[in-house]
Amino acid sequence: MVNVIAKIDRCREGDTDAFRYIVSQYQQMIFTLAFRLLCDEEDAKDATQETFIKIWQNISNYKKQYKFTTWIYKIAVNVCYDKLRLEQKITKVELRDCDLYSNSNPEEHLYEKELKAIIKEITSGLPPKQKLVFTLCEIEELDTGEISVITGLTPRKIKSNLYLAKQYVKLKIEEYESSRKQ
Amino acid sequence: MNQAVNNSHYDRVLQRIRTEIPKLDGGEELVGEIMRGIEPVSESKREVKLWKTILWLSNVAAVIVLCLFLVETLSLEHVDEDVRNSLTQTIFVPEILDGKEVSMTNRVRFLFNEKNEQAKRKESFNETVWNAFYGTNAN
Repeated sequence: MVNVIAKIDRCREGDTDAFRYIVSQYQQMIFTLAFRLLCDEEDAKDATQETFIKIWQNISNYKKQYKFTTWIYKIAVNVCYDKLRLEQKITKVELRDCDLYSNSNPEEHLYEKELKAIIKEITSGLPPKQKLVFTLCEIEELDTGEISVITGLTPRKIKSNLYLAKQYVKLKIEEYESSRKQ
Repeated sequence: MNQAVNNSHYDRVLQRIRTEIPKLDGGEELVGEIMRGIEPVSESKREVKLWKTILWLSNVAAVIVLCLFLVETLSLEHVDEDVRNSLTQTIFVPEILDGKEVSMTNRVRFLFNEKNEQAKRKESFNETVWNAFYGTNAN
């Protein structure tokens, strides 16, 4: 952690090598969050790239009283939230079966495809805000205080959004399980 | 019973999503793209910083100029007032000199002499009155 803080200080002075270290340390974490929210590898990569560029642009605004991961989550969530809203505006997307894993082995491909399909199946119908709260609380397992800092929502709103999202997801999981059995 | 089954399905699916971390293919490539992405940003950041400094310096210069202008204006007003006061002072010219070309020094000298004469006359008048009442060797 001390190392990361030293790197952040160096980033503030414009040290790009220190920023390269930050990117390599956190890119998987941001990509995972983006993938869980956007359910698409390319979109998740774009969101990751956009997030790190925003981190670089705003690194001087980072306050040390917050955890660095909370701060970068906040930026990532904002980027993903904008994409989700845009996606919701454009179309209610169907499960896409595009071939994004041509470089990886077929088993891994199937594995990731299934994961994507599950996440998409159970969360695609959720409004962006509920999806965000559900992902942060139930999948990323963050506490309400941290979610409140990241999303800017009050704990009460987080609870109500989470309740509605869980109801929907439970229903979707049942549908998913029964379709698998058939 | 049904609720319990629902919950077990829910927990199982969520557990799977939590544990299965999507693999980031081409992580190094992504780092490279991000680093390329921030280069123009850092360039423009430097430019913005330079412009901000120039703007700040010009603001400081403007404030200094404004202060100097204000000080100058106020002091000029003060000088003007002095000049105005000195001009509005009336120099009484005795009738005897009115219309004659007499220099300012001579006028002042005349006024001074006139005042001395008046004082002397007053003194002699007082002395005369005193002598009339109390006699010449009263004191």
